[in-house]
Amino acid sequence: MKTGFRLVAALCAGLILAGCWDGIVLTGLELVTAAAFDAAPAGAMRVTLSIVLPASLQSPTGGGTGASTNSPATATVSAEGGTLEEAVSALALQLPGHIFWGHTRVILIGAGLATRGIAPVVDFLMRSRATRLSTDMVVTRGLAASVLTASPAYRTPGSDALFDALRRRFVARAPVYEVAQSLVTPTSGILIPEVEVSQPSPPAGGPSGGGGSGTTGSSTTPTGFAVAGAGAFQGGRLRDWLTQSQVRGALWLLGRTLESVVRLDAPNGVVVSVKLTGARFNRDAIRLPGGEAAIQVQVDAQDALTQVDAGSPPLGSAKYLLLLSHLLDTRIRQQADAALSLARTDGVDFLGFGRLMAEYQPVFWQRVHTDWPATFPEVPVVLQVRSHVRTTGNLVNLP
Amino acid sequence: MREDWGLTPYQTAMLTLALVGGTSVIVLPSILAAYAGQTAWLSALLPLPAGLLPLLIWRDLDRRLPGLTLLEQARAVLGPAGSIPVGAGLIALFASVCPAILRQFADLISAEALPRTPEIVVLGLMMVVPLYGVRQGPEVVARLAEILVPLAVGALVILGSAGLKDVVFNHLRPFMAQGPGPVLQGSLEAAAWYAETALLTLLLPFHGYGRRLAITGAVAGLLIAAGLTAVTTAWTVAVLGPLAGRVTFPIFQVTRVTSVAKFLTHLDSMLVVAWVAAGFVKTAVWFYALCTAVAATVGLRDYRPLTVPLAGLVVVGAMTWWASSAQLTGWVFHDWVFWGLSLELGIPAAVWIGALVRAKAPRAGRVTAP
Amino acid sequence: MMGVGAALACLWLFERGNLRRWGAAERVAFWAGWLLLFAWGLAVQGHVPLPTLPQFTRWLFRPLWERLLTVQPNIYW
Repeated sequence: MKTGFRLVAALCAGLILAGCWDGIVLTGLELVTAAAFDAAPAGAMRVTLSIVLPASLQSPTGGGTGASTNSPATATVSAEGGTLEEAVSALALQLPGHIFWGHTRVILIGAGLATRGIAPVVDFLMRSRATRLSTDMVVTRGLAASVLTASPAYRTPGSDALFDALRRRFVARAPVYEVAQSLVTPTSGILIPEVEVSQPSPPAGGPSGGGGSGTTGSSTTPTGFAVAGAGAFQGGRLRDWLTQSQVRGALWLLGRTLESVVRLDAPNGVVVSVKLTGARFNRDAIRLPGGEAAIQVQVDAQDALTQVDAGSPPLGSAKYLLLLSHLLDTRIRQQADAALSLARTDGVDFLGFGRLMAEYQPVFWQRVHTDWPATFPEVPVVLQVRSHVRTTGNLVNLP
Repeated sequence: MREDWGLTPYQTAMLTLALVGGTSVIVLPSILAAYAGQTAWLSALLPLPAGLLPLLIWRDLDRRLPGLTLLEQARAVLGPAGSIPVGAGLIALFASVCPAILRQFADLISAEALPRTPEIVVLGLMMVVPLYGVRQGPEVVARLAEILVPLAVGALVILGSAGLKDVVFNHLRPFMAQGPGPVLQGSLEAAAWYAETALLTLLLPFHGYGRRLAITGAVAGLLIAAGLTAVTTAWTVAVLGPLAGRVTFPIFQVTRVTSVAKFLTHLDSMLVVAWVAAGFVKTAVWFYALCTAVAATVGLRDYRPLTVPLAGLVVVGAMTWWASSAQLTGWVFHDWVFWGLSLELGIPAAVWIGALVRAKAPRAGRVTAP
Repeated sequence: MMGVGAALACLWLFERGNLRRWGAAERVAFWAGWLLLFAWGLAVQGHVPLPTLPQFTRWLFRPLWERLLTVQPNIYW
């Protein structure tokens, strides 16, 4: 009897502790897969959410019998408010269920809001309980909401396509918490990848691939998007745009690996493609022989020759591969220089050089940190690149 | 009153780990990072002597007056009148720590798991398990520690290793760039935590395998707690960088960064479950100390009549003493350091000095147990 | 007040078995503890401004932590 009572009491306590008191069932949740934040007139904000429609989601391995392929997997809702939370509250009135941010995969920022400042968005995402801090942030040149209405033919929902594009290592990534870190340190900038909406071109599907599978009508909406370049932010404000090639250069200097293919024009009309397969980096701040503080970046890149486009290079010769490696060194150096000169002219330290100074030359940093944006363009950068073409694939020579 | 059982060294270690590490692992990293930034992990290791001091004092006192708790030793050394300030000091310490712990865990649960549940319900439920455990006696509390603490530590270690890919070791540089000041400030904060071993002066007399092993267990528990705090601090700073000093409950923010695979995310809820379990042990140990201190000071043979009303008082204190979580953080950040340290180190030291003086005094001779 | 009465009745039932076993001192401590709890609870309900422990420690230690525990800005991030 007493044991029974205790057991029942324990079970009741368990029910309450497990949160079943005011429990919200899964179907009562509006699962956000992507959120777009845009600037609205008069300092207001427009929030657009891409909400999963669970009934329309198909498992990729089939099995689902009902679910017609034509119905979209997500719905897009949008609302405006004086502040971010006001906009979200307005959205909550539109939606029947409780907005759940836990599955948000991509945060999109429109150019207008990026110029005005993204601090409120980052604050909201950091402060909220459900959001993941590793969620990717991206910027768009136009309205961020337009990306959410894009419906790429190759994957649904669209936010998944974007998420997977970011997951491949072709681009720089900016998770929420790293953007927040850059907000806390006013001297350092950050690169946030840019997503470009591809407008529908009348015939012959815009994004390569897919063949001729009929896209589900709606020829006026954008058909897809691609990760283009990046926006350089400082203090939570957009300062400049980088092209894809400049982003590559920046990533060399940031010490981040990036899968990329480089075209090399070798002597005697030879054109080959080389793919980066891996790289090691060493970044620090050093004192030059004259006593001047400088940034040193060492790149040790490993590459594979993936294609011969023109000419018949003697790929069996180790000496020739060394020559290709030297050509590659020059290309990497050029890319890095392009990014560096952009950072210097803009005075935005998106290369993390200030942090390197603080780490390795704290005494120097103590002297210059107050006017780092002005000092940073004058700091010399020693870039040492060593690449190795390690393999030529399964073929030595064709012609 | 004496229980007919003895603490095993392992139980002692787990109890020490819970009573120090239960909150230090979740609260200290952001405090230390706010002071010492990149060098915060050092602040978690430097104040270890503050935690060892009460244990050393107890060891010497137990040689002189074996098998007695600090309050009984105080009565033997200072007499009934002299033991009242000692008892009052201990009660003040425990009565301030219990609501603070309870409130910290309730804040954690509100922030991470149950944001809509009324605070009084969370506080009340958080008090039920410790209350039940304490009414069953210290053995139950010790066994609770034996089971729950390794679980919590294990969850932390597993989640920590899952997040290794997000660690940026460069965030730990430069070393001591701001000089020793901020590191010492952080150490002072951590010292107030480690000196919580003063509570063991009420528990170690229950040792079942000799004084030497009891001390070894307690020191081992303290070392694990300090090591865990230092590693967690370094881990937090290495992942969150400049944010480490600006977030609440930093390890939970770190787990919000971590995702093992594309789909396996929200590991923070797992850690909350494990750590709240450790929180029960910490609350139970401190609540046991509070009940026995009050009982011994008032002169009761049994502390059990006091448990239910005292639990209610702890809940009311936890509810009303701090108007907001920010106020609690501020209190821990500023006041607790001095308040805790002075009581934790002062009271055992006072009894010890009393014992020394009595031993030196020619006529009193050696004191004996009453 | 009815709630308080009901609670008192409950706790009396709850501890009736124990109360018989306890000595006089234990019984007094038990009732004193409950009285204190109810008094405090009623004071909190009635918004009676009671001094709190954090207020006391703040008054006691404020000069100390203002001097010793001010966070230095970290320029090295």
